Amino acid sequence: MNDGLDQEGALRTTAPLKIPVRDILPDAASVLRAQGVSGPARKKVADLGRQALALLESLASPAAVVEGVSLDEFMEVFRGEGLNESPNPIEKIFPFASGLALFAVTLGDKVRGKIDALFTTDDFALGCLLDTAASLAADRAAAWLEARCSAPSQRLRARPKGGALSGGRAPQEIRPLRYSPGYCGWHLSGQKKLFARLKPERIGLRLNESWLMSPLKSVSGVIVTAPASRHAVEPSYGFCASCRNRTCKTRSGTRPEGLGKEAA
Amino acid sequence: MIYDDIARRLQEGDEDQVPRLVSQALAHGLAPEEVLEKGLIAGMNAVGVKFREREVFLPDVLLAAKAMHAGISVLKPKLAQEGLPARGKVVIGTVQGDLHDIGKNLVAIMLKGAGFEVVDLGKDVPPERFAEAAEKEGAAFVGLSALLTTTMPVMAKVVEALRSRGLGGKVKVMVGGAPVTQDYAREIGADLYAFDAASAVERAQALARG
Repeated sequence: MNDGLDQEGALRTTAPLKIPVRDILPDAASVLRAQGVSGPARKKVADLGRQALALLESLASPAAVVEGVSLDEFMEVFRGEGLNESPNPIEKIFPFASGLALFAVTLGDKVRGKIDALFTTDDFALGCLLDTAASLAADRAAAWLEARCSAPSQRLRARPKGGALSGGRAPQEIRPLRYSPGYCGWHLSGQKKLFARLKPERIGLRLNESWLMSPLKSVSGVIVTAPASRHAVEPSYGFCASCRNRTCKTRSGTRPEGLGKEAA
Repeated sequence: MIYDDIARRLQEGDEDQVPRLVSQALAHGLAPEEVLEKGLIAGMNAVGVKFREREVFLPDVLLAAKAMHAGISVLKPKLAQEGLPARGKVVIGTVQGDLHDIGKNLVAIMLKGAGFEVVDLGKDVPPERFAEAAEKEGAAFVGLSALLTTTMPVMAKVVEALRSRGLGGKVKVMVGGAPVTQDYAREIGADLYAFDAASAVERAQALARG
């Protein structure tokens, strides 16, 4: 595994990548906030938050695989097992992409093992904080990749291989943004073709019969580099009603702190 | 009063003082089931109320739960001699194909804190195993968790497995998890839907009270 980055920090490889764990550690306040702690936490809880982050730093071994694909290649992956919702927002975005990159990222097995162990010893609070910290870190790892697909230089190896992309480079702000099976109408079964294409087994990822990745604390999907306005999704699709995530309106304009300030 | 001390220390998540006070209460000849009810469960109930009212947060509840477990470990031998005060037995697990178990763990912890006996089957549990355990354990409830739309249908299979053992209606089914809704619970014939761990406990308590 290598860091896969050129001197300017852009991705330049399809080989497995090692992500520096410090780059993706969330801050203690975010972890506590994600657990519903509003305002200052009492000392005992704040200490546990810091302990969870220290554990995460020592146990996580974030790794990723990423591969640029053409529009046709992506359409084949996206079609999956034919179970996607229709209409869905993703199919309205990717035809305007100037870059498409399949990706999978994981924190590795050890974090999950530690969470289980903490619950076994009744250390529920620390286990739960570590779980939350790891979820945030996995998302930040995906954002780390996204940031390296950033416009304006379009340096990611996500250039189309054959298959012309409609839209091309629009004369407006270009923004890479990730989409994952299981969200926004892309059926979870899409993982099957995504895995077949990307082979994330190279970084220790497995897929079960429910198309669930293990170890948990992994993220997969596609990074679509497209005009920023194209990413703005109104949560008005039928399936949006049962979605508890609802980050579609905010995430198109934001990125976790410390990740890719250079990005659009 | 020692019960108040136990409840207060438990709310603070003091895992050292709670078992010490429980030992002290037993040494003074107090009945173990009263120590459980008026000390430990009273403390957890107070934490539950504060959590609902956002005066405390999830980590505080979990610290209290750890202190509660420490207290129960002292009480357990005595309670075993006299028989556990039954608020009901719950068989719980994450359904087959799903490996997400944090939510299920939280529900199990909070149900235990409310005085239920919990049989945790873990994750990736086949439908028949839920039915088998419910029958064997004489469970009042079966709690099912799923975090994926692709594993939700397994919940319906558990309901069916319970029916085919003649347990339909006798063993109540509670469902929860991110994609699960009240409508879905109704659709598959589940008795209860819980939005989160706190509501799971409230609903179980309400049903146990009749």
